[in-house]
Amino acid sequence: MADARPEFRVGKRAALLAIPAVLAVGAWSLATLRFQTELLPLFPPNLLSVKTLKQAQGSMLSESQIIAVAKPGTNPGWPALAKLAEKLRGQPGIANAAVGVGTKGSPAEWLAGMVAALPAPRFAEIREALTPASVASRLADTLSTMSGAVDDNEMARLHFDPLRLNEIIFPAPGPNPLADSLSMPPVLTIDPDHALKTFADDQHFVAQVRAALAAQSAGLSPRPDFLLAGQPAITADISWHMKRDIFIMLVFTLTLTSLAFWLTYRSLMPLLWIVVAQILAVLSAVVAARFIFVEINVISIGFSSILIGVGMDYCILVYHFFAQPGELDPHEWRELRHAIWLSSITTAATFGILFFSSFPGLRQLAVLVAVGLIAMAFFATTFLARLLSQRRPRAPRWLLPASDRCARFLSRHRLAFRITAAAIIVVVIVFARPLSHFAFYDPSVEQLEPSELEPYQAQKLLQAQAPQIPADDFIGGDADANRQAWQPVDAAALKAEFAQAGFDPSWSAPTAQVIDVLNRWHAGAIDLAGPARASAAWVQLRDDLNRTAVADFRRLSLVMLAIVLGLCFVAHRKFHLVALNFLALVLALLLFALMLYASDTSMTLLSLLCIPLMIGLVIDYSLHILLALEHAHGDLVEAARHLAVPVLLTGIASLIGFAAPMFSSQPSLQNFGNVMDLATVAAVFSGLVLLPALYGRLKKH
Amino acid sequence: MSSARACVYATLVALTMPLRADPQAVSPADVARYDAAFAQVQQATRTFRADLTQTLHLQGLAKPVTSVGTLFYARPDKLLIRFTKPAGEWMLVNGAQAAIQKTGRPLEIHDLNVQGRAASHAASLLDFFHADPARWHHDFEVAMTRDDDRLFVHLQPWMTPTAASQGAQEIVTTLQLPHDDIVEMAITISAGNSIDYQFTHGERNAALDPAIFRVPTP
Repeated sequence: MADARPEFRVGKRAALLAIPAVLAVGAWSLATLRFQTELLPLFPPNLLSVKTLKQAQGSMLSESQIIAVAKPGTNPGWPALAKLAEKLRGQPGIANAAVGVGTKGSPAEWLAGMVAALPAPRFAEIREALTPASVASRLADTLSTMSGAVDDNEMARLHFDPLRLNEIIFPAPGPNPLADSLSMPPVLTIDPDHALKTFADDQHFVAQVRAALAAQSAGLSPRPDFLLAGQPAITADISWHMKRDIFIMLVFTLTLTSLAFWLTYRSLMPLLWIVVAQILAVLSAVVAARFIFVEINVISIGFSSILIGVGMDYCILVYHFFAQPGELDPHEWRELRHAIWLSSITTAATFGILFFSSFPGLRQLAVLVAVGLIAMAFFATTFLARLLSQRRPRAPRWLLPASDRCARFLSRHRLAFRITAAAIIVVVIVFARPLSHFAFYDPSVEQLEPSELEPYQAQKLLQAQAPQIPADDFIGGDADANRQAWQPVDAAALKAEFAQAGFDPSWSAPTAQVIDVLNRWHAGAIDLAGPARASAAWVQLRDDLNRTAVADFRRLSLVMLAIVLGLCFVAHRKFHLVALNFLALVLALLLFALMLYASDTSMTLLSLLCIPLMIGLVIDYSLHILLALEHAHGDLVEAARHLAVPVLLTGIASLIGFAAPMFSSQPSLQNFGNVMDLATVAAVFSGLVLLPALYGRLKKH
Repeated sequence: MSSARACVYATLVALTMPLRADPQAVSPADVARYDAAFAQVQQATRTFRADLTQTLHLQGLAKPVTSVGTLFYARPDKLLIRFTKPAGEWMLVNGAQAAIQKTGRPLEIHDLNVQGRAASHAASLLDFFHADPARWHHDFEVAMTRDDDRLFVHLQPWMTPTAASQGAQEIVTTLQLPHDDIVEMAITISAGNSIDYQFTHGERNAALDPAIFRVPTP
């Protein structure tokens, strides 16, 4: 049964060389590739709002520090937490623990950031408050504030800010500006006693912190219910969830695609070869990502499931070719190879264009998918083809008659399907008004975050507990003018004034630090505009990302269309066939829009990717169908024998593959799975059902 | 001549120093006896009023901060400190509510059930007045020393502090025997930070206007 003819052993030597190389370098790449778990690195780094948020995040969260935030109503207060911190020091895995207000390093730096972004008149008040006469008067006031009724929180605030600069930063919206502005409940900051290098290190450290907190806070009243924030907690949680998600998605996809494949072809061994081919292609993509980026975001990895969905198509086409009964036609094989390579280059080019996007996340994805698809075409037409040519599979007897019946049905009712195509266009025109008001794209960033995860809740709590910053003051504050206006203050002289008033260096140090930071800022050594504008930056981020995404889309979609057009011309060399390709594409896009509207689903910043992906799928399907129809001189039954089942099966596999992310814990992936399933249905219906009906020279049956 | 006389005086004073006895530790049997006596006195105390001097020692501050006022207590759970220096400030505990009025600040009200009793220093004082000695032993490691007619009660939170004991490193209460009149209470919050309350002109069961304990609405 083995077909040893050389035309089916294309690229044998190349495959033999490539497989061990990909396995070896792929294993090394997987071991050395660094994984990002945050959202911000996915966004254009040069946007002001992204820069600001990175700075703000940097000032709130340390790389290796865990911040334990007590849930509202369970915070036992500063003294109790100070004792708890003392007990935590030296517990397994913990090098240091301290009480703070959720800022990294000195809170004075955070305060300096606030000062820097003040409106100019209030900034002038700060400068006035730091003159020697004003310092003496303010310190005398502070001493009198300490007499009488003792308020621990007030004492802590005064120790941190004896000149009460906070009162100038946060002018009274009500009668109690200081209490309002410094109402941040104390939190615990916990440092590890070892470097956190891997996901496992982070998970272990988080477990150690949880155990220590549980053991040491048992007697406190109220017993604090801690949420853990900070980079180790985020990494530990995301990596755990991603591991679980990947496992669930893999099991789900492999089980259902295998079932679909087996139900269609009643064969399992070739499925294993297909999986091996896919693993090789994924490894090739990982190798490229390792060399180009070194570091890659877990969300990009999740999205690269696209690769498996589309790559399955090539493998099924190759399988179906070798499973057909009778003698194999080398000419048909050359055409199929040609079509697979054209299709993979078209889709890879469509995605490859995203490499020129402003979004680092899209650049990562472009490389993963483009390289993976080319590799998939290579392994499908070499490694898989050779194995299948040696052990030819057999398609079940019912498959071809069923395919013939469907093709005849389509052929007989092509008028009805042409009317359906026209109806799609008419419906879009009739409902143009509500459709134009529908939010096909939701630019909000919040829904991309796995906000139900504990570290994000803790981070939100931390932000909610931070002083409410009057946004008007900090959006476009007078930082530049303030920097020029700042008169450097002699920190040593300031400390001497404190000492004269009876305050030792422990009281003057935080203010001196603020002064030092502001002096350095004035000298241009550091940028302070960021952290104070964090809340404004979140507001601005949405607009920035939206604007950038739309600009990218406009800039890149024209290039994408040009590439698709060019490659279709290369494939067909006939204008009317290229026009049919585009008609299928337009119909798929319209159908996709109608389905989004009907299911009330909006695309997010990341599921916008479904559009290039759908373009790739439609062009892929339509290219194959049109080539097969041309080859069969308009005989749909003949063309369908080669293509209908693989395309349908690919569509089903894609639907299953893209449904898998819906079970993940990442909202971005859930939305992507949902949107991509709608896009796949649109692509399959347009490419496999509507396009043949629109083909002009279709033979009647 | 005068310097020689000063030297003689100094020598005499130095010689008498060893004669002055340190406070003596109280035996467990005597601790039980003092506990019982104190419980009896407190049970008989419906109200208490005393002049108060509050001295706040803060780490890094050259001079302590002194305030003067009056303490009012009404059994079982009301305590008010009304300051005359600085005038207009007061601290109040009434049941689970604590209020602090600082000069030039709006009234602050704390729910002690939510925020814990450590949220108010007045609550710590109240615990002394209405808790029986059995509670001290539950919340603190109790040691007593005695120097003539002064009894010093040293309270240190257990390794795991309770709701009542957290927020303090040590509380030393000085009682005047034989009537167990409170003379002084020194609360050490942390190293270098403490509050010392000194009481004079204490008066038990004086008629107090209940309205003074009413928590005003902010």
